[in-house]
Amino acid sequence: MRRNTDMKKWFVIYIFLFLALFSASGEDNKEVTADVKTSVSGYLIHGFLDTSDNTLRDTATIPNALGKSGVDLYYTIRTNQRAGLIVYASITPFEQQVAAEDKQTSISIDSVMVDGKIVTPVNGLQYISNGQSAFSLDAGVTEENAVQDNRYQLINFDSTYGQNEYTYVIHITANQREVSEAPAGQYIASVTLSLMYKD
Amino acid sequence: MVVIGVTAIFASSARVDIPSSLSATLTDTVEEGDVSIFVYDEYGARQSGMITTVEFTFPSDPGAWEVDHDVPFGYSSNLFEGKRGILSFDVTPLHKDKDDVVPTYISLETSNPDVKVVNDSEFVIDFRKGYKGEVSLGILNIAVRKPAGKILEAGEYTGSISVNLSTSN
Repeated sequence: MRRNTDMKKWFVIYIFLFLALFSASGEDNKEVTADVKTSVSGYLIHGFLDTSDNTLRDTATIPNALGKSGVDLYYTIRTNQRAGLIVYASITPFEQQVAAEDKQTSISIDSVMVDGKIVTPVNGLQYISNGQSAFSLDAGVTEENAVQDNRYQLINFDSTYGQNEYTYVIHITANQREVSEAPAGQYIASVTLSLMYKD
Repeated sequence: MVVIGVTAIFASSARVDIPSSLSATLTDTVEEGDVSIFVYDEYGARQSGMITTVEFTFPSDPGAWEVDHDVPFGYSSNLFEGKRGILSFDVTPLHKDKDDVVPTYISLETSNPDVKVVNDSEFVIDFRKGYKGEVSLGILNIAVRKPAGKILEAGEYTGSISVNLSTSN
């Protein structure tokens, strides 16, 4: 019982001090400053854009890819940081799916376009991806076999403040003469996209 | 006066890690194309469909004579698996009417190792799997022979060639 009395007493004192504080600050124009600091984390993600729900996916499967009109891949980068970025691609020819003992036929890539502009194969690429161990592709890479291997520098851009999503349409067309002369069967090509900082 | 300062540090200056590579798969199927036989005309031009015209000019010699024409055949296909086929020929005599008839004879020759001539009137063919754009099968030779002493009335003589392909796996 005595303890309860003490608690009430202290409670009254607290209120008093609180009122006194405000009363005093009003008269003396004192400032109370509370600094709140936070940070927004940087992010950099990329993926194949699923246009049906606007999500990004790490993988994509595109059917009917041998047609003369080609196929589109929607590729999106989302970032809130300012950076210079390059997107590299490695695009294999279409390989016929055959039994191990059978001779495999390839259909080459005829053209690659990004947003309607033709992109030609390059040599001298240094890295596939920062996600992998860095290795030089220069060794033994001539312009000729760069073309054969279908390595491309697809996109070279600088992200800017105020924009955090960059979408590109990558259009790939198979060599139609080779399609017309290809043995019947299923064919598969793979596209690997890698991001790199410019410097 | 109460002042509350809010400081937001937007995106640290340190670079974020590069995300992993992406991988897309492009797929499609080249459909199987069955065997298609075609014929060339006398000038070597490939004919559309299976129709061609072979014209013979008969000599005016009252004695025995023979005229002939070569008709080349070819094929195209795109098979999953190879198969065997028989291309057989049947040529009617050339006739103007029931009394004016000239017998015809056929012979076959080929340089294609996948083609064999059987019974002088059939090509037996091993159609290979895979794309075959325009493969020569061989030549059908059609000969018209008039024996000595037979009189042919002037006019137009007609006949026909029937070509039949049967295949089995």
